Amino acid sequence: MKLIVDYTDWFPYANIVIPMVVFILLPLIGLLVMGLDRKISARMQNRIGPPVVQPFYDLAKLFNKQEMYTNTSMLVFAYAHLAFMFTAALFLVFTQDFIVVFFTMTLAMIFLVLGAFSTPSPYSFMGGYRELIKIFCIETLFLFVVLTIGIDAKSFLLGDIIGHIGNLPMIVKMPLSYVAMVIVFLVVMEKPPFNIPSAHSEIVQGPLSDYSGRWYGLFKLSHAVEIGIVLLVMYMFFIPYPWLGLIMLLVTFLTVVLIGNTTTRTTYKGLFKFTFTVGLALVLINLIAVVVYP
Amino acid sequence: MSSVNEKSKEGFQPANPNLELFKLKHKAGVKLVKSMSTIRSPWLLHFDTGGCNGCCIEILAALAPRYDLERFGVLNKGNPKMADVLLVTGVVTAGCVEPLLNLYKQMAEPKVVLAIGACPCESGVFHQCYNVRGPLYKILPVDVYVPGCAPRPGTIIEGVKKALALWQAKIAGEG
Repeated sequence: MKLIVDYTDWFPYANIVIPMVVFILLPLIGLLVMGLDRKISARMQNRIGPPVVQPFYDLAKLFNKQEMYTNTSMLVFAYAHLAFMFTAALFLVFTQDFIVVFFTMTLAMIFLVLGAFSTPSPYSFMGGYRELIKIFCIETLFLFVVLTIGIDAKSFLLGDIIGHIGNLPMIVKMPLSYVAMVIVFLVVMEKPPFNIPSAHSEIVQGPLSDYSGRWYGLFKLSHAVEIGIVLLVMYMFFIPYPWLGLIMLLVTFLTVVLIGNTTTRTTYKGLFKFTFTVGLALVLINLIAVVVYP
Repeated sequence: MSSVNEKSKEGFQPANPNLELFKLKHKAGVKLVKSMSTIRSPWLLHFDTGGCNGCCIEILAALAPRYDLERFGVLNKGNPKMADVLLVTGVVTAGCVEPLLNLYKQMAEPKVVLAIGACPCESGVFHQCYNVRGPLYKILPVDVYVPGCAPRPGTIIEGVKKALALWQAKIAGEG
């Protein structure tokens, strides 16, 4: 991703090396965000909490467990989920088509649901249905945000979008789309009130109930990548000012953790009603504003 | 190691001592990562066989903010496929033997079993009742016994720590 300036003048391969570094850092950032989330949540509840690198320990442990699975097709879907999530991240960091990034991410989520449906567990089935509803609600908001950004820049290529920005960051033109992205981030982080697919007190682990060991570790890894993608898209709103972007991402993250620790889980109907009234209103008002006042 | 030596003999290549040393170090490093990471994120599965719920409440107290088991990376997963530590509370009755064995079989290796409270340790006051199928060790291989009626959260935490030390020794000792 072209962060601020073109580095190719003093480093000829910067256009390949910098995106690759971002691509490699993306899962690590996602895992660190998950660890920070657990630590800050613990401090908010007056606990000590696990260390920040706890997700790395979890991942290392999961990859060293015994292999257990009920059938082989669920393993294929697990690998497909991981592969498409990494492909979406690759498209994003190499500034390809934004729409393709969005659809590749959705395809990865569909493979997660297929993996849930390929096992005999009823919890897995119920989690799969809830995951489908979550995808339907969240990807709608995400799609409208992508459309707004694309219509504003008159192109869906991320290179053109970043070139179109100039000195004025996108947050000035699309503050409501950013709020919609915060809702998306809240759901992607699996925080209350919208953690309906992984509601462990109702349905064991949701769509991942039948996965164990390294297969569950693969899903954890791709979840980290997903968090990284959403963070990178949110960072795009502040692009000429990196420090403003990082501070705003931190503020957004703390807000999401605070919301997660002070609310209770709604039903899937609650998620549906919220995203298709408040969320859709936010993105549509912003879309109309961008179309009317270009 | 023996297979590596045989292969090198077949190919008429003398074993490179540096390479052998590197392989040994690599193996030791992998084992270290394995044991260190496993003891840092034990996920619990709590099974109550139908006792008085006293021990269950003490386990929940250990997970709650005052004792905060999560600072050791412990999470209470209600799923045997993801759990590493099985906590059994309550006396083992005839009706719960089959579900207990089923849960134990679904857990992936490496795994440890803790008997929490007097009932699974030695059947307690229900000793030789008509519906009791003996202490837990007759059903499952128990790694750590945590006595008490009910054990305090501190005792349960110490039991979990001892089980993890045992678990680390198990991983470090395997070939």
